[in-house]
Amino acid sequence: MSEPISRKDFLKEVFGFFRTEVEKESRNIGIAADSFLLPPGAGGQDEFLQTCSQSYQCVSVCPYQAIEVFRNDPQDARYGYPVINPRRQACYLCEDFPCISACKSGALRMERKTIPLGTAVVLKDICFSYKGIYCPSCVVKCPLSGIAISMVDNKPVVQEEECTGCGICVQVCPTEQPAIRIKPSTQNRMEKR
Amino acid sequence: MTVSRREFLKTSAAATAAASIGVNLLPGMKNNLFAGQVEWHKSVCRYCGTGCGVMVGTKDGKVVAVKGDKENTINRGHLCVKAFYLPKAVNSKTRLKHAMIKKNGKFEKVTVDEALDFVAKKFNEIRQKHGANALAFYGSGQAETEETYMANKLWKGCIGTNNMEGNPRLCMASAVGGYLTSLGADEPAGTYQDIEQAKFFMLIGSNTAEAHPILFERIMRHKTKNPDVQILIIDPRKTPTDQVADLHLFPKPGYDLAILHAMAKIIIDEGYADEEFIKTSVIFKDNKNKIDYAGYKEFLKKYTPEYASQRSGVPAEDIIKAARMFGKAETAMSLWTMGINQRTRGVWANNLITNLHLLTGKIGKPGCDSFSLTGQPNACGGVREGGGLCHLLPGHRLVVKEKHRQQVAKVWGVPVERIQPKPGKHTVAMFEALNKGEIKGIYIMCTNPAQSLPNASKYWKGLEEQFVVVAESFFPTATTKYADVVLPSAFWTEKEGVYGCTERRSQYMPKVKDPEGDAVWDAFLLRDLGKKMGFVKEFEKYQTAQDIWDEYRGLTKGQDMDLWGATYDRLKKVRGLTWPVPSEDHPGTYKRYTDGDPIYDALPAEKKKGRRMYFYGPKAKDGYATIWARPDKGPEEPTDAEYPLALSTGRVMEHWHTGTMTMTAPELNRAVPKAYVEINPSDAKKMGINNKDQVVVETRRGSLEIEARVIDRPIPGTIFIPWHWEKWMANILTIDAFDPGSKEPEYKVCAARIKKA
Ligand code: SF4
Ligand code: SF4
Ligand code: SF4
Ligand code: SF4
Repeated sequence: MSEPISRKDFLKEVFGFFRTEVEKESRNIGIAADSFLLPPGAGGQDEFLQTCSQSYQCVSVCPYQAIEVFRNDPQDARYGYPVINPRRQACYLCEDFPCISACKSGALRMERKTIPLGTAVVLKDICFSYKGIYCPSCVVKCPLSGIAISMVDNKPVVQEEECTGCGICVQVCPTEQPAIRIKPSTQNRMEKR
Repeated sequence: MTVSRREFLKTSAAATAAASIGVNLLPGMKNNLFAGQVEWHKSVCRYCGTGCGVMVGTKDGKVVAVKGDKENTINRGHLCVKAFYLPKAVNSKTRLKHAMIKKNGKFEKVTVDEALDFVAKKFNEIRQKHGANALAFYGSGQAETEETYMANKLWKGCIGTNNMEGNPRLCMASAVGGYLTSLGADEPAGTYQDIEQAKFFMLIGSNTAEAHPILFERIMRHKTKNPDVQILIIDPRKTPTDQVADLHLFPKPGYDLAILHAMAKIIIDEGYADEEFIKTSVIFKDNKNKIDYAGYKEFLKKYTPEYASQRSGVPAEDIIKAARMFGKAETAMSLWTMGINQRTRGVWANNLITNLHLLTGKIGKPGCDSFSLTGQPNACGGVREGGGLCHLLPGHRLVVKEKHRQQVAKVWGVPVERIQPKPGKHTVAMFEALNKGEIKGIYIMCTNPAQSLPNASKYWKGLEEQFVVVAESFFPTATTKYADVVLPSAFWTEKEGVYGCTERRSQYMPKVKDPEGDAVWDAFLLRDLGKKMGFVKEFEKYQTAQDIWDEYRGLTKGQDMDLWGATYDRLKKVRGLTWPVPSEDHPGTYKRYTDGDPIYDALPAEKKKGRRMYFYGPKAKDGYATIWARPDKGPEEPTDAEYPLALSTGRVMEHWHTGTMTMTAPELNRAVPKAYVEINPSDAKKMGINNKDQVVVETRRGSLEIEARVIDRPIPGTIFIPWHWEKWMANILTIDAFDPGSKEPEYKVCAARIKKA
């Protein structure tokens, strides 16, 4: 006879408590360490921080709750500004960009909607596929699968010119810390503009 | 953000990640963090039928890591992510650690012994009052051969009912029927070795990239090295497998038979047939009678590319191209899985694929085979070879054959009359009988029918009403809900045993840790249940896994799937053996029915004269394989005005079956957190459905609220749902119509409609 279990624990077990726990854990894996992106239609970071009125309209209209308010580090200039953490929720680059439409301050602009949020970079030292584990998750789930990212010799390879920086690959990567990250395109955006 | 800060974040994240994914344990690392502390044990992946070799790392009695076994010929050190996260399943909080009996609707914890006493009493009561056929067993292609063997003996040999089934009925039965009718014996002629020698692949009804990732990886590597390798895909859906496609035919779901006939016609008409091979090795049959080659050609007349095109929706010129690719290729390998098997004409579809290989003689040679991919790790070994279906006995034997019953009864030590000569109830019939109360008690082992049966909700009634015993390693599952008794089973790594994968390879798995809590090895749960039911003499002799294996091995001696030479001693050393392995010094067989196959080699010379292959299987006559002129038939439930979309279900790479194991890994849940329905953008537009909208998918059997994914993967007019989640149970929708031959249900096609939620 094994050790008795309390009624409470027992009920938890019966009602699938542990499953819920795993589900919760799933959502939180590797979020904290991720790099953040500016919302679609933003210019360079300096310009964005100067123009954004912190009305959080974009935050409230995004149907996927992709935009959040940056609260991770009070020392960071972006503290209190809207950002995207692709590990938590990537951007779906909606056809009509409700986030940009909602922005009244001019921080997010339609004419900049085609500028990528960043570029995906595979971290070869932790990516499964570079370690003999077959894992095409990022490639399979990328909305531009085979264009922005494809399996070459069984490893993911990003086409920088095609990648939108949406971050879906980051969100789905099944390593504990994402083995693919988005290099924010502060720089790019300025140049491409 | 300052550079230093970003650098800091990046490096610290990388370091955490390296530790967390266990990079230090993976190939190519200089410093092994666990060196000297972790013990590695050679084993087999718990998941799919590919059968990859793994090394299980243990430390202080716990499973801490899994890595690929570099010496295993199947995967050469590679694994897919599912396998990598197996330690999370072993150590999951959802592991079932004690037995439970349901009293007044609530589970109460008991000892395993008490639970087994209770089950034995109940089963004996049922048996006395309603006869042996009121009891049933429902097993699994994930159970070890030893486990299925014990269940077989208890039910068919002791209790005396053939109501002994397993979930391979839902996945492999049509392939069994296909091989038996086409080649005369179950299971493929070749092995994975053919992959690297094939110049052409036909992947039909298989999303290899997601369902058999490591085999796909091999195909992809082979094609990268040899760009002239051609790959044809026939599948109603664009899948990640398309990365390697040279040509993709998109038939309407369930309408591919005509394409295969049309390909055969073109192959003959354009002179790609191997007339010599046809003359020496093949006979022809229509659905019932023997016909001749001319009769077959006559039958094919109707199947012009245009006709096939009209039936399937595939452009005629693509069908011609496909046939020529097949015909011209020096060597050709066909691979298929559920898209072909899970159909009301699954056996026919299997036949028509093998037809192409027989017509062109592309079989029995390196790089050539008609090769069915198995879904589960031991569907071939335990259930097809071990006889874990209602019409089978161990060692590819049949209950209807008196000789077979005698052979088995003798080894089991039971009176031969105890084994009924009539097949029992196949899966769908079994759960139907449970609904009707004809079956009053069922023992379910290592599987989750409440979620995996087609038209699942229909069968919950019987599970609710009858006496249900579930032996499981995890809790809760959709099925344990209905259990009256839950028995805790030892999980992979907590028991030894043998798995036999797709390529006829049997591989040994060691016990490397103690079972969690009170968990007991399934074979011993069954043994003890047998003893408690009164079959003491029959079961007391089994003290170790090897006792069971050796008895089974004896029963395979001289059979087409001879495993006599595959002793535990040998299996512990080698990376599996491909049968026939008739003796301990036999290295295993690469190709059946031809030179190098010990059974073929032993045939009298006059039989083999002028013949490259001799099909000696139990269903073949005089060494001939059969080309079938099967009629062309569409799905059981075609689309109509009311239900205008064809629904298919299937898999994603990150999860496996009902998710009981893969959903213990948060990382895999993150990759694919929930079910969705894929809709072609053109259909979505017509219905005003956007990506991520909540929609309701309805069929004549049920409705399911689910997220829409608008994507050009399914062809217009079709939708697709991955079936892994209990919360979004795709099998509420699927149809339980089944193939009249194989009794395998048509999961892959039914009629549906969608509306916005
Ligand atoms: S484009 Fe769509 S998903 Fe992306 S941030 Fe804007 S509203 Fe959200
Ligand atoms: S690779 Fe694909 S998924 Fe990843 S950011 Fe680029 S476009 Fe998005
Ligand atoms: S999903 Fe992550 S681990 Fe997998 S291949 Fe992509 S980057 Fe690598
Ligand atoms: S391909 Fe199949 S057997 Fe191989 S590691 Fe993946 S799940 Fe396991």
